Amino acid sequence: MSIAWNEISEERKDVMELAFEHLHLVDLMVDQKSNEIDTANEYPIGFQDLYSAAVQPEVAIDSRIADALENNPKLRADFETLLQQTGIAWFPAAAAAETGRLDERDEASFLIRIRPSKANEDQVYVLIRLKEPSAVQPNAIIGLPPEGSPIKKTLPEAVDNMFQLLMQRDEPLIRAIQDRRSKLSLQ
Amino acid sequence: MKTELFKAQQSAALRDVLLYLDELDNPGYGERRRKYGNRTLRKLNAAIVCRSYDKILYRLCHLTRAVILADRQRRYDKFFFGPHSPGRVDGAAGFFLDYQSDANRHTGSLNAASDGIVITYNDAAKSKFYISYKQIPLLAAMLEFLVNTVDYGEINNIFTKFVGTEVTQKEIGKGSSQLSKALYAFLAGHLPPAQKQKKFQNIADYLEARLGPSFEEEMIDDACMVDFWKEASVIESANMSDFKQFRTVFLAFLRFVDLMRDASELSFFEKARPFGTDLDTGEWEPRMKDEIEFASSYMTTKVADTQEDPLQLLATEPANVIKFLNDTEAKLIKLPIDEIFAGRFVRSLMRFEIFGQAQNRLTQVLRSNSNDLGTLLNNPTSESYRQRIEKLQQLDKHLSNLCLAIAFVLHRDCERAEQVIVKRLDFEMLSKGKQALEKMSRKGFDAAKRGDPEATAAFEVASSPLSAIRERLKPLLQRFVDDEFWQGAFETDKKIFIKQFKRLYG
Repeated sequence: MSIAWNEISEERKDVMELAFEHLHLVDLMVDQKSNEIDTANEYPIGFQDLYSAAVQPEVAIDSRIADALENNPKLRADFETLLQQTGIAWFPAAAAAETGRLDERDEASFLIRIRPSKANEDQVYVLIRLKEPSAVQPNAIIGLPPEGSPIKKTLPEAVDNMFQLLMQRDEPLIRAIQDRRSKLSLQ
Repeated sequence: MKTELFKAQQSAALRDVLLYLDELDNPGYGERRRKYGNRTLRKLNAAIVCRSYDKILYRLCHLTRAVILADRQRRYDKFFFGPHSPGRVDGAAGFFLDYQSDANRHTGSLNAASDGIVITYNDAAKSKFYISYKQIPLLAAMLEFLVNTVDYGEINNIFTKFVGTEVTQKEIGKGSSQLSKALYAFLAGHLPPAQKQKKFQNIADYLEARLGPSFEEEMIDDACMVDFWKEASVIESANMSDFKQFRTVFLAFLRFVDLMRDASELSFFEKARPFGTDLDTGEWEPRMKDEIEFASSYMTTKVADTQEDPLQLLATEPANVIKFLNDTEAKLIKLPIDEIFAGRFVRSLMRFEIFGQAQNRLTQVLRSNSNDLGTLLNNPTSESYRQRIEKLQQLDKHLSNLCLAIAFVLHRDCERAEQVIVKRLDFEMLSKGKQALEKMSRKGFDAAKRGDPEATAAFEVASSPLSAIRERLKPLLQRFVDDEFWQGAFETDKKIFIKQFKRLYG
């Protein structure tokens, strides 16, 4: 039923105004969003992208995710929390009192070692040993250096509880393992 | 400052998050599927904008407890961010029904039924808490919003406390309160308190002056809107600056008309709701319980109608295995479908679609710091009303063919349905339906031609929303029969908008 404006009480007009402010805001958001979709090609990286990169072995840390993790402190902190929460093993930064480069990282159930290749001095082996047999096996190693992008590497099948990667000595993951300030996660 | 044209209510960060949720696909394998539906996201937006999220957070904490109880590893993250589709009712129900079917995982604290879950606590007088599967998508979307705005470590710390065997309702309430504080802190920096911007009052004052103090909503017409825009868009006061865009004016008038229509129903809230806390600064804080109740109840009915959104139904399973409407077609009719009054103000609707879009392009050019507006200002749109009407007529023809094709497919594949749906069809119409189907080459139609059961199921589900869309389109098309009028209307409006654009941006 239609009602004339001057027959509506001031109290009711206040209620209408309150509802108007809220509903109009939602209307504008919906309209704005559909217009932005017309023009925007790239969407921001969000939590779901981080989760997939942390948990799904086949999801790489691509350049967009890497940029976001390098430049957005919240995303980087969230990613670190996710790695700790969802990983099979977590290697925190090594004790500050120690100095020098690390060729070994030790954690309750895993040991990571870097060993030079005898065949090629530019190459090294990354050996990840499961200390005790376990049904839960990692699919990837993720390095979280103090600066720069995280690095993710898919692991091959384990042989006798040992995962073995042959890599160039100067690859970012090797540098991350050797840097005592880096954190590592087996996912 | 022209840059002020782009000042919005929310920060860019908040808009980015809402946009991110809108575009988010469910992780996992197979066909692309949006993680959250439009209805869920509109409810979430309303809750965020109104800051009426406390109940949602409380339910989310209970849900998280339930997920932990149901998960084999007592983790919550896999349900919310893995491939379970928590943003969809079927995905959420599937997770809990799977738990229920596995006796080894049962605990005395969680029971999953066909319509929802019941969590049992030992500590409270009312020891059981029920969550319907239909509520879960909104709760999951709220968590998705939280993890994209609040420190995840903080959220994880709260949820980790729900892992123990003896979690109490008090702990759930405490967790919920912590989440609420964290979200409030985020919004404090990104969503200013809803302010009395006097937009409503500006429109009311204008209508009072134009139509007299006893005006009724039926007296509001297209001329009111465009004349208001011509005046309000160039006023450089803080209160009126948000009326620069014609799209904003049109949406504001639709909402004003809607509220005038509802004015008699709104009396329910009159006595219950004290209004305003600091009128001197023009601010309004939603701190009163009654206001929050008002906002959540009235807003919810407004932003999420009880009727299913037909476009959304076509975009979700099982209908989405067939491309009944492409994105362009869906956009053509989005506003008339979403806003029931849009069809009444058909001239303004055309202005909104054609010149409102042109104004968007102009503002985008301004945003990119380009100074070359000359060409655009003199020729802001390449689409005329006639061309838009033709597109709508083509869409109607397409819908008609779809309806015939659906009748044919259901007659061919569904023994029970044919008696109901195609009882009035004769041989000639079925033959037309078959021909229509044969001519369609979009995604999924080949499967329908082969009689694929999945395609047939999609046709069955799509029948109702497609009819609803056609019903909404029909009265609109009837308003477009006078070709000469619309040609003249376009030329007239073009002059009005070019002149105004030059005042605004020239």
